[in-house]
Amino acid sequence: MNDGYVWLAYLVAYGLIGGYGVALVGRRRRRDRS
Amino acid sequence: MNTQPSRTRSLLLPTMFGLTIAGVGAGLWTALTSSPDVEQGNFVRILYVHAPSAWLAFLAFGVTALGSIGWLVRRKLGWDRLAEASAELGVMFTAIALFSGSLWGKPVWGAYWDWADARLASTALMFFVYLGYLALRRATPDPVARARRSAVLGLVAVIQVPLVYFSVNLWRTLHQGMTVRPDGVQLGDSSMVTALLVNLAAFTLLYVTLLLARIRIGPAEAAVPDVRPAGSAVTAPKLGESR
Repeated sequence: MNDGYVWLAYLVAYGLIGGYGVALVGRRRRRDRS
Repeated sequence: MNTQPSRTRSLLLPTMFGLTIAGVGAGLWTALTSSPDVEQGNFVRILYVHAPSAWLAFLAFGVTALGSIGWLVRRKLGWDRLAEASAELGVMFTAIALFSGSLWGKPVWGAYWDWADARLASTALMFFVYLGYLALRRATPDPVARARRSAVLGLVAVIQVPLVYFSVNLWRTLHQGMTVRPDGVQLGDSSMVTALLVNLAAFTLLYVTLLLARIRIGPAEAAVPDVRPAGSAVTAPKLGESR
């Protein structure tokens, strides 16, 4: 049984959520500076 | 001077962030340590990311509709910011639900995707309609016109949410039936039920925290003058004029 599908699903899901969170912090800092 | 509201406001996001980290940690722990399914084995663990993402997409688009109604009734841009922030999150969670679902489909159904399946096709349509919602917002520089147009679309588009949710009952195609039903959660054992419920709660916390953080960017973004849309410098040729 190939568990790679499970790991890939978790990696992409949490990567996308984490990336969105980091992008929000970046946007906030950029707006605060301008 | 009473500083209580601002102190509460400044503590809200860090508190929610802490709760979310704890919730996501508990969610991951229960998801990865729960029993494997008798038929699907470890592939059932994709459910603990897939179902909460789909649930959050429904909630997020419902909140977008709520913000749209709020703007149409009260004409306060705060409602519009709520609608925008929630739509952005809804698109992200729909993308996760679609991607994790297709990764689950390959080993279990033998195919990543099937356009003939009602749940898959209606979810994809919902994803593209809300991408269009975000595109409409970007294409309208005037904040009031943007709020009005997107409120109308936000209200029309939300019709898809019950359609996607009940699609598994309305059309019996490839996608499995509802897991959480009024008569109980349709899973093998209690550790799987716990994993699903903990992850549903963790993703809901995640949504609320990201929503609060996104809404706070709203006023700061509004303060920055709008860049003129692409193509606005191009003027129509004056036809019929003598040279």
